[in-house]
Amino acid sequence: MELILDNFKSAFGHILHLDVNIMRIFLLSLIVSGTATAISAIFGIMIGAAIALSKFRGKRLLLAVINTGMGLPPVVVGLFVVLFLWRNGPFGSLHIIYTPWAMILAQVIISLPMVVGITIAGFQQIPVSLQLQVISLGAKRLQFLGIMIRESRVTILAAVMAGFGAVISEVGASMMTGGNISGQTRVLTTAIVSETNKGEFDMAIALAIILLIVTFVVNLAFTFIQQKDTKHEWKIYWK
Amino acid sequence: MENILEIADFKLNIGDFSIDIPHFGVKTGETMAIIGPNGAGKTTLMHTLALLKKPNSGTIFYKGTAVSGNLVEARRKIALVSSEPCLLNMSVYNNVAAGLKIRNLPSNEIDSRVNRWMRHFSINGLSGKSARQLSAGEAHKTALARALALQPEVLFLDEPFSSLDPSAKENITANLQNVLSVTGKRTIIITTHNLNEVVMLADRITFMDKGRVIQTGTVEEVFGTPANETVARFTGMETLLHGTVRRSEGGTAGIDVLGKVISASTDAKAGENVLVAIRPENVFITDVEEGAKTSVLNHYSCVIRDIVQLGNFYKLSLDCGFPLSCFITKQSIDSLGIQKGKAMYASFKATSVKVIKRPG
Repeated sequence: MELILDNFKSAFGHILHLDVNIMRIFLLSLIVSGTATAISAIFGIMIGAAIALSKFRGKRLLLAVINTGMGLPPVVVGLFVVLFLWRNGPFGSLHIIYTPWAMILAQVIISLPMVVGITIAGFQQIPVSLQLQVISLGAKRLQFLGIMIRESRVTILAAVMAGFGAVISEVGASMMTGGNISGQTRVLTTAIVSETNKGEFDMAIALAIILLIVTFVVNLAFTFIQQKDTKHEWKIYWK
Repeated sequence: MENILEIADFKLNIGDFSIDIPHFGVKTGETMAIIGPNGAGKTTLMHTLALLKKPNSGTIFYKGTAVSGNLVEARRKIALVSSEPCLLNMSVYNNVAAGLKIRNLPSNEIDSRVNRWMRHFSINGLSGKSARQLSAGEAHKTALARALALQPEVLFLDEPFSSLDPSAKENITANLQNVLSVTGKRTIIITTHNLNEVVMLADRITFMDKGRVIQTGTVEEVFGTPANETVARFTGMETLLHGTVRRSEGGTAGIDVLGKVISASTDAKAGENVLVAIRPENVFITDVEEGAKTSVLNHYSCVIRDIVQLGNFYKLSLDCGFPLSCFITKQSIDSLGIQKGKAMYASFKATSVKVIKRPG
């Protein structure tokens, strides 16, 4: 017990003294996962909307593939990204393996199916009668899409939150594609693994606390945006 | 008057259901009610005319020109109000302004139109309120204001108030009627089950059944001379009896119905099988067997089988040797001492009997 308490005390010390290493790791995590989430959000919402609002042969099969993608193990993603970016691989000439770009690419692959899948679910909740109403108001394609995105914003923000949560907390893909190089590709999750392996528990705890705070703060911001219109919702009454 | 909207050779298949309408037209400035039983294809026809549903074949004409190519511009000349208000998750103001913003109108024009139409429907006090917090009546008024703010050339009302309770429905229908009379006549196409709405709003009626147009005409024509049994029942003909014309002379026929002869004003010929339709409001009840000499040709002894209250009046089910329905006031119930099982006399004029010729 004393070991844990001492390490916690030391961990808070690292945080309060704004340890340069920790700050660098924290910022890189935020940049990598933030960029990956932003890319996934932009493309994921568009792809999700396009799939949800169109009717085509094989749609159910595609939805099954997307839903499977929502549960892709990060290490599997990491493996294939490494294979493709390896020096002799199809995209080896890009020379981005063991750089933050490779990590971003892997994280986009992890979060994109989540954003697409949840966006599709959100769009499918919009009644057809409302869609027809918006078309009858004279909306052009992009105006229609904008209004539909606005109408399903609660679900879409949930999709973005789920995507961010998945990538900020994954370790396998980042470790494999970034290599956990100190000062270059070390992010919060990979740093926690290496600090724990080294027995530097205080540093690992400090990084873990920061990881939790980052996740909480980002989700808090999204939740406030998401829930701002729901304060008058009906309250379930039991007794 | 020319047709503002027309549809020709319209065919649409939805699973086992098909709609087939060789021609249908709505005149400029008229209010056309599309009525008929559930599943008749009314909403589908309306959605097709509103350019929301693509027919399998057929052409839609707007002011005589076939609609083709980019539909957005054509859609911007019309407005639709559905049975559900279909409001967006935003304030009342922004909902009323939605179509105007889509058209990229200047903000002062949007503001002026939104405020004007919110005032017309007495929802200006709800401007900043979220659409989710509105009562059903307020939501319907917002949907109407949103549609009319677009100043459409054609307004589509698809069972617009069907989810409202009767008093709210009456209130909003009167409100709409008042607003339309103040803001000028425009072309309106309305689908409804509510015959009161039809009588209050419509100039002409189209009756649809099983994907086909059965009858089109003025309110008087469709209600007064229904084309078939379905139209007759739908338009409130309580008594519908199968019979055979026994004699026909000078425009009046004697029709055999269950052994009784009913006189009717018709050009049906002797031997023809017909359907006799009698509205309950055209039937009189008396306790006098033979009154003074009158023009009433149909007078029968009857027994009162049932009495049902319908709001301010009562419906009597009579047995005259054939079933007959009659509407009567509370005052008449009391003054005639009407009760179940009482023997009375029922009469109705030959000119109030509608005769529908049956095929074969």
